[in-house]
Amino acid sequence: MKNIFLLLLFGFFSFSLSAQEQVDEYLADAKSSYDVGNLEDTRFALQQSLNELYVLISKEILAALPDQLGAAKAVSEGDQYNGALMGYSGVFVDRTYEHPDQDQSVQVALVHDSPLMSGIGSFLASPVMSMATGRKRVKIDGYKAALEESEGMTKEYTFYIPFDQSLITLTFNGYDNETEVIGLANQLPIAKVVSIAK
Amino acid sequence: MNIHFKISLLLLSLFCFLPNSEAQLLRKIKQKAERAVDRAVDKVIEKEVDKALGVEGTETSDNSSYNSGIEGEGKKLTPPDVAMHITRANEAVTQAQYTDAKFAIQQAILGVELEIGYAILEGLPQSINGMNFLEEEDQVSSTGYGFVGFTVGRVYESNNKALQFSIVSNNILVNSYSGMISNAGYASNEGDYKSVMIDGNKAILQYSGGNYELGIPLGQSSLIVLDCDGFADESEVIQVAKQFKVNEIKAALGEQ
Repeated sequence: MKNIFLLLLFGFFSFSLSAQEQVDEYLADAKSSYDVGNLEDTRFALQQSLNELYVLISKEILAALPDQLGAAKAVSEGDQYNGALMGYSGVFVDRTYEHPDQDQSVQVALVHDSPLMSGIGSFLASPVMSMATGRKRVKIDGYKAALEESEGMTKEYTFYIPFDQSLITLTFNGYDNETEVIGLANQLPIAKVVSIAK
Repeated sequence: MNIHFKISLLLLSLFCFLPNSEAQLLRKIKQKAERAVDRAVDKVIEKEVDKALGVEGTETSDNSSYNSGIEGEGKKLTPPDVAMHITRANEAVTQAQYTDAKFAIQQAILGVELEIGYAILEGLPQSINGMNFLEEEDQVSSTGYGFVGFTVGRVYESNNKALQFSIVSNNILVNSYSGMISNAGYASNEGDYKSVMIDGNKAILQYSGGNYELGIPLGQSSLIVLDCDGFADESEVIQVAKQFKVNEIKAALGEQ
């Protein structure tokens, strides 16, 4: 009985390890594997620690975002993040804001530290691409962005903000005034998000 | 929208870029082998011209002493210190400096992958079927990003043959390549592709424009590619492939 209790207690604590403790644990594994010359296990433990670190970074980015954007409120239970991106290194962070009365929403998404993003991001925001696709180049919190306007069931404005190997996408759905969306986008702490992610 | 669905959509769009990346890698490998063959041909022509001019035995500027160990030659960069970067990462995580921790972990991954790569190169044969390896063409590269992987390459050549041996490891592209070549339909395409076994590992042999290319997927995320130029026939390719200790490489890469 005592053993079962201890086992349950151990299980509880192992499942309730914080991301920071998990990073520490993987780094300790990496160190001990490296000390005995087991390179493959060292590599695996380091990769795991990096994934857990991405979780910490994602949470910090989400915490830096405002709870409200204009009249739209953050759907905080919908906050999402995912490390490692199914084999591609990096992080995917996502937050949605919704207007309580009107059919308007804003989605803030960040694909971070993925080597493929550097090419795609610069491609999306390049002046040549902007001219070719009719995208507008604007500045959001000091960062260059490509603004795309599309008309479907509702009007949609999308900002693409590339930096390093990362891409922030802001999608404003149900808004019909470009000046308003640029103003709202500028309320987002893009510079702070970039400094956390860098 | 579910996060997995979003990621799937994103990956779907990214996959549009994948065949290009793979083709680029293979093109790069092929270019290297072609350069190696060109050099071999140049050497032969140079010798013949020297003979005709009666200056046989003199060295050309290409072979001069500037690369023979004299001062100022420079040295290769050493790989990042893995143990030091693990310690740095630990300290940075404790102080909640995640950017610094990320950099230190990435450097440690880079360092350990380079060490794995150098250890693999050390175990490869120095000559094979009359072809000698070109030390200056030995190559190990890593991005330092988890799961993006690293590559190891070695070039062998003789007067009439060249072989480029490459490993791509821990890369998601490899999985799609393995899936593609395990497809029976792909392997029976007009007699240019053939499935073969190398030390118990399923591989695909491809013939194109006088060249043979042998792809040996290892476990879940690694791949060996042999690009063979000037080989007599497929049996020579297989015989050469068997001289590489494929299962030892597989173990070193942690593949099952």
